[in-house]
Amino acid sequence: MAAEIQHRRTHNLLLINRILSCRDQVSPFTLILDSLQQSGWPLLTKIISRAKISKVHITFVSFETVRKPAQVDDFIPCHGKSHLEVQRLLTTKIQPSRKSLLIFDTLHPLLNQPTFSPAPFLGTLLSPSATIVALVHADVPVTAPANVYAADALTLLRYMATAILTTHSLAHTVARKIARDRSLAEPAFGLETGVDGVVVSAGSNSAVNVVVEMEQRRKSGRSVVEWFVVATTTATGDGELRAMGDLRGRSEDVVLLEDHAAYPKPALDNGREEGEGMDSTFNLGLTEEQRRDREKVVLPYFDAQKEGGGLGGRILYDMGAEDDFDEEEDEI
Amino acid sequence: MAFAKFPAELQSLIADLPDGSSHLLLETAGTSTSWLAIRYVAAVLKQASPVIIVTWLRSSNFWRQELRKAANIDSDELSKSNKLAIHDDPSLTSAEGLSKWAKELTTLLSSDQQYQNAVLVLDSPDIVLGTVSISADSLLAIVIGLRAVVRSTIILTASDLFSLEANSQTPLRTQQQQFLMTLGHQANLVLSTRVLDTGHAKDVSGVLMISHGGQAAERQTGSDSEYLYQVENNRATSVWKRGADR
Repeated sequence: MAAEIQHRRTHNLLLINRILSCRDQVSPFTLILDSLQQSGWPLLTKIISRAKISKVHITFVSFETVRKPAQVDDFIPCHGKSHLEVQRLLTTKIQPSRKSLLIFDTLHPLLNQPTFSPAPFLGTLLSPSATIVALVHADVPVTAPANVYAADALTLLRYMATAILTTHSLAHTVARKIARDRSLAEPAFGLETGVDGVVVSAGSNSAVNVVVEMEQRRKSGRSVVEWFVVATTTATGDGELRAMGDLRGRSEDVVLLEDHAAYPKPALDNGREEGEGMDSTFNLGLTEEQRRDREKVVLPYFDAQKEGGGLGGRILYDMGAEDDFDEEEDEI
Repeated sequence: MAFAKFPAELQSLIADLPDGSSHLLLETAGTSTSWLAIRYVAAVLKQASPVIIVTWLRSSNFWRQELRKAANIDSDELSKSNKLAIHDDPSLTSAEGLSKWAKELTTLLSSDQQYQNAVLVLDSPDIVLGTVSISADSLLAIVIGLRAVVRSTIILTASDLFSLEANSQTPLRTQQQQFLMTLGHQANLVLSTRVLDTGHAKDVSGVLMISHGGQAAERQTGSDSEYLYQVENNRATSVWKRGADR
């Protein structure tokens, strides 16, 4: 059991680290789905800083960012442009010879355009040396397609993505888990509450750590699902994190959700198995002698399987005067 | 100034408007955030930065009056020295008129050096979604275009999604939700007001909640908290923590 968890931990941590670092083409098209409960922006900064370390050329396509983020090589404002204009603009910027990372801060303005189709759009941008990371806000509705039977563009994107990272707030995830453990109704946050005026709840959009639900699709079609906590530590943020006692592995910025210090651990019930922790007036345990006696008892269906039927398990019945014995039907 | 009580941590959040930032003020049918916007305008003018108020919902007279009554700001004098400009009714009639107006304002702001540090206050641009045939995306593109040429932007918008259109996903509601949620994702700080959950009270106007927006900066003390507030007839506004003394 412990070995299994250890294996999962090593394997999945390696996987998420490769996705975040855009290494080895493990995921050519990563989709980050965020909401106002936890923005995907800190995750994006994480990916940018990691790509910078591995000297990848970073192109940032902006629909809703007004200032060029730090560490980005190319900043292309695209607000108000049609998808064909964006596509034309980007194809001129891409050089297939160098390793590059293409980041979209949102795809919504494109998704809402009736003539936009994700497959040809991404097809022209993808190349063996390029990785695409796109942020999409899951709580912003997409304008319904003109053809009511057609899938909307976001559904297509989810289908095409080689990895989907869904972000959640750590505070909310922990609150939900605590409620679940006590069999209580899970608390609602943000728009879920259905209250006018509540759009962003307390504990939302932490810039320090993000809960990430990863779904990585392999070429075989098998998918790996795992939950992580990603700490978006900067040079100064690291010390603060340590002071808060937030992360166990100090050098690690990515840990499994269940390994995170804030996440409730399953109760250790070794004592209960022995019957000692039980608080009742009955003694439900067995002494060693009782256990031995119980094991000696031969149950009827085992006895009946012996050659000749054995003696146990038969029905013994004495006919009474009131019984009407029928020779054709009854036998003793 | 006619501010009876205002928490210091809230005041420092309001005064902290770094380059490229955006704060979103949300109001509902029973509450208003204009008093908070006045507070922003006063803080920015104190920093000697110009303020441009663009209003769709309220008239420019309303803003002049409120500035004078609530913060003792003489808007006429400030307008003469180009420290304060109030635009109302910016081409509400057509989408083309709106984009033409936006283009003119963008050129004006980007060409003039004195507007480099300007703070833009947009009062209820979401009205446009219901009055002009324009998509939320086009309107958001206009907002982003304006945001790019000023230091910081304060946007006032309605956040009623539930009570007004009893849970039917009409096209207008979809547009409204697109607009509201996208602005939330672009904001650094979201200040939302709503009526008391327990009904009306004589001495409380509503609840003010401060939360992180989608592009929240790394450390912001004083955010993620909830206050109660009251706006009096004489525009004296007090803000206090739940359970604390007023």
